[in-house]
Amino acid sequence: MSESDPEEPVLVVTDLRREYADKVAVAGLSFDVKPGEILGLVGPNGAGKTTTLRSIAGILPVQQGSISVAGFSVTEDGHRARYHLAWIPDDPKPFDSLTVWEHLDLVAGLFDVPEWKSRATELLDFFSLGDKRDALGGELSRGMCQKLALAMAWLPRPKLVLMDEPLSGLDPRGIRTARRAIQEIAASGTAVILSSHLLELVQQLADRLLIIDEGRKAFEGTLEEAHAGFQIPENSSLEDVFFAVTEKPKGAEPEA
Amino acid sequence: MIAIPSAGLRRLMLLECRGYLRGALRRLKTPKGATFALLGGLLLAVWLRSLFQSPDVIGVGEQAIAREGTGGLPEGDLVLRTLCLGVLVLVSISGVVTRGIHIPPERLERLLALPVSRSDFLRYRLWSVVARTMTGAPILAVLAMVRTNSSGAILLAVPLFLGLSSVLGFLASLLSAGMESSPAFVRVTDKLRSGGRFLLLMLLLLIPVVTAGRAAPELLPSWLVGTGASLMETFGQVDFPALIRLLSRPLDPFLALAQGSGAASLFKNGSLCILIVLAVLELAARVPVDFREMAIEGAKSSAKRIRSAGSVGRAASGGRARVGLFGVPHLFGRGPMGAVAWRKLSGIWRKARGFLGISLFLGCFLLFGVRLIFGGDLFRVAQAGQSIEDVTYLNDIGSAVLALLGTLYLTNGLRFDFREDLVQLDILKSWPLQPWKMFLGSLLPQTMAISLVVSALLLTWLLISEATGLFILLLVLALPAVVFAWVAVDNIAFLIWPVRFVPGQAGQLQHIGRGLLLTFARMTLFLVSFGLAACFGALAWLALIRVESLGPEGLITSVALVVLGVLLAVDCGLAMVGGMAFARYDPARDRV
Repeated sequence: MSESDPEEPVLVVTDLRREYADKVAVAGLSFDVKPGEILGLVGPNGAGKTTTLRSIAGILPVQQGSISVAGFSVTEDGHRARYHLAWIPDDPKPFDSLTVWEHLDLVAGLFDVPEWKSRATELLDFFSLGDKRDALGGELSRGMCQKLALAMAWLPRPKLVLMDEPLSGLDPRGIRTARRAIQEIAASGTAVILSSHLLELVQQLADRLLIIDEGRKAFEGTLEEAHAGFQIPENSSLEDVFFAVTEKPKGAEPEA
Repeated sequence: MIAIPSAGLRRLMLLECRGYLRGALRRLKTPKGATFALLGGLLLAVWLRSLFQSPDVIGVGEQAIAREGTGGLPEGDLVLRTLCLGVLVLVSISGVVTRGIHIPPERLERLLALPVSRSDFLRYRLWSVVARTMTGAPILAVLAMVRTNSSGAILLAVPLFLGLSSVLGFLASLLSAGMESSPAFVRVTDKLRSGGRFLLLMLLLLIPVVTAGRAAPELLPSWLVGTGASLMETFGQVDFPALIRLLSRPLDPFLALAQGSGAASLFKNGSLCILIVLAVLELAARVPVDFREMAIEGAKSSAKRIRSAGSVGRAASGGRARVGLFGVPHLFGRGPMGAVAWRKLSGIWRKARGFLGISLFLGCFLLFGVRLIFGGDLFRVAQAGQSIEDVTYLNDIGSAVLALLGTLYLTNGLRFDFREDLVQLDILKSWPLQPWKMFLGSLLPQTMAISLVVSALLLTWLLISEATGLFILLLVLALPAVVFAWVAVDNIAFLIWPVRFVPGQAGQLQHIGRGLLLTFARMTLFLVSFGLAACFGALAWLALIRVESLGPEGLITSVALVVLGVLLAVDCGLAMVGGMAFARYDPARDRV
C-alpha cells in the first residue's frame, strides 16, 4: 500500500469470528480504520473487545474471517503485519530484568528502528520517565508501566496502535499525558484503536465509534450519526448512546 | 477460648472446607477432570501398593525388644526417634526458609480487615494448616502401621505428630519472619553474609588445590590431611543413639502412644499428646510478631509463583534482577531475533549470576566426586600393573557423567524459557518475527550459558585427569545441540500444554494424572530426538568401520560428526515445531 494515502484503510477486518468451547466471543465482525483515525471501541464486559484486539495483534489465531494490517494478512503474513502495529494490553507488565531504557532498546531491535536513541530520550521526557531511565521494569509503579508501554508503542512509529484500556492505573497527570500522546500519535498519521470503559475519554478522543455487544457490531459511525440513527437528542453523550445501543431490542438497527 | 478460633472464624473454616470439597467434586464431574483424577489415583495406588508390599519392616514396641540383638534390623525405637527428629528438622528449616504467613492474595486483605484479634487470626491460620496436613495423615498412619508392625494406636499417634510438626513449622516461620524484621538481626546477617562470601571464595580456592593434590599427593600439606583425619575420628566417637534419645525426649508421649498397646496407654498418652499439640498451637498464636506486612509480601510472591507456572519460582529465573556495573552486550546481533535473545541474556546476567556462581562451586564438588569415582586411583590400587588405557577408559566415562549431571542440574536450575514469560506471552506474540525465530531466540541464551558452564567443567576435567582430549572436544561440540534439544522438548510440551501448579492449589489428584501424561509425552519426544541421532550414528559406524584408512580416531570423529549433524537437524525440526506450538498458544485459554 502507498505510504500516505489517507483514504486507504490501514486495518481491514472482514467477517471475523472467534469461538470458544462454550461461547461465541466474536460473531462476524467487519470494520476498517484509516490512517490518523482514532476508533473508539466500546462495549459491555464480555462483548468481545479484547478478543477482537488480540486477533488483530496476531495473539489469537484467526478462526474465521480475515484481517489485514497495512496490506499484510495477519493469517498468512503475520510477522510482516505485526511489524506495522503496536499492542498495548490493559495491564502491561514490563520485563523485570530490563531497565526502562533497555525496553526501548529492545523495541528498536525488534522493529529495526534506525537512530532510535534521540527519539527514545524525547519519549522518556514526554512521559516524564527520564529519571527512571535506569530503573528495572520490576521497580515501576502501575502508572509508570502504562507510560512505558505507550513510549514503547510509539517508538517505531507503527501504522496502527491497539490500546486496551490504556489509561487504567494512571493518575490525573498521567491521564492528561497519555491523552496528549494518543492525539499526537494519531496526528502523526498512525491509526489508533482505543478500547475503554471510560466513555467520556473515548468521546473526547475518538473520531469514530465501534460499539460491539455479544460479539456483534451494534453500531459503527460518529457520535452525530448515532444521535440521528437512534433518535436521541443531539447533545447526548456517548454514555447515552452506549445505553441506547446496548439496551435496544436484539436485531433492531439504527435508522439510516 | 484457648487454642480454638472464635465462632466467626470457625464458621469461615467450615465454609472453606465445604467449598474445597464442592470444587473437588465439580472437577470430578468434567470428563477431563475425571480422566486426570483416575490417572492420578492409579499412580497413587501403584505407589502405595509398592510401599505396603516392601519387605523391610521396622519393628517397634514389644516386637522391637524381641528383635533386638538379632542383628537383622536396626532398633525400632531409635529409627522412629530419628525419623521424627528428621521430620521436625525438615519442617522447621522449611518454615524458616518460607517465612511469614501465606494466604492467597485475593483473600488476604479481606481476612486482615476482619474484626478479630491478632492471636485469633493466627489460631484460624494454624487450624487451617493443621487441617491441610491431616488430609494426608490417614494414608501415612496406615502406612506406618503396616511398616512398623505396631498396634492400632499408631493410627492416632501419626496424625497427632503431623499436627504438632505443622504447628512447629508455622511457629518457625513466624519467628524467622519476626527476626528478619528486627534491625539488630539485619545487622548481624549482613555481617554473616559478607563472612559467608569470604568463606565461599576460600572454599572455591581450596577445592581445586585439593583436587590437584589428589593427582600429586606430595603437593598436599600434611596438616590438611591430619586435620581431616582427626575430625573424622572425633565424629566417629560421638554416641549418636544417646544423642538422638536425648534430643527426642520431648516426643516421648508420641512415641509411647505409637508403640504402646491397651486402652490405658491409648487414653493416657493420647490425652497427653493432644494437650501438647494444643499448648504449642496456643503458644504459636501468642507469638508477638506483626505478620500483616509479611503476609502481604508472601501473598505477592505466591501469586507470582502461580502466574509463572510454579516451578520457575524456584529456578534462577524466578529470582530478583539486579543491575550490574556493565550493560548486557548484544551478542546475537541487533535484528528482531537478536533482540529477543538479548532480552533473555539480560535475564540470565541479572538474575542468575548468583546461581551460576553457586553452580561453579557445586561444579567443583562434582569434579571432586567424579575424580574420586572415575579418577582411576582406586582402580590402579585394586589392579596394580594395569595399562594407562584402562584408566583413560574410566576417565572418559567420568567425562560423560560430568556432562550429563551438569546439564541436568543447569537445565532445571536456570529455566530462562517460556515458563518465565507466561504472563507476557501476549506481548511476545505481538512482536514482528516469525514464530520459529521467537522460539529459537528465546532458548539460545540459556543453551549457551549451560553449554559454557558444562564445557568449563569438562575442560577442567581434562586438565586433572587422563581423559581423551578428542572425546572431551566432541562432547563440548555436541553440548549446545543436546542442551537445545533438551530445553526445546521441554518448552514445546509446556506451550502445547501449559501446566501450572503450586502446593496448596486445588486439584492435586488431577495434577498428578496430568503430570504423568506430560512426563510420558516429554520422554517420548526426547527418545525420538536422541534415538534418531543414535540410529544415524550406528548406521555411520557400520558403513565406515570397513574403511581402514580412517583409523580408530578417524572413525570415532566421523561417527560423532554424523551424530552431531543429525542432532543439529533435529534441533532445526524442534525449532520449527516449537514455533508452531508458540503460534498456536492461546493466552485467552490460560487459566490457573
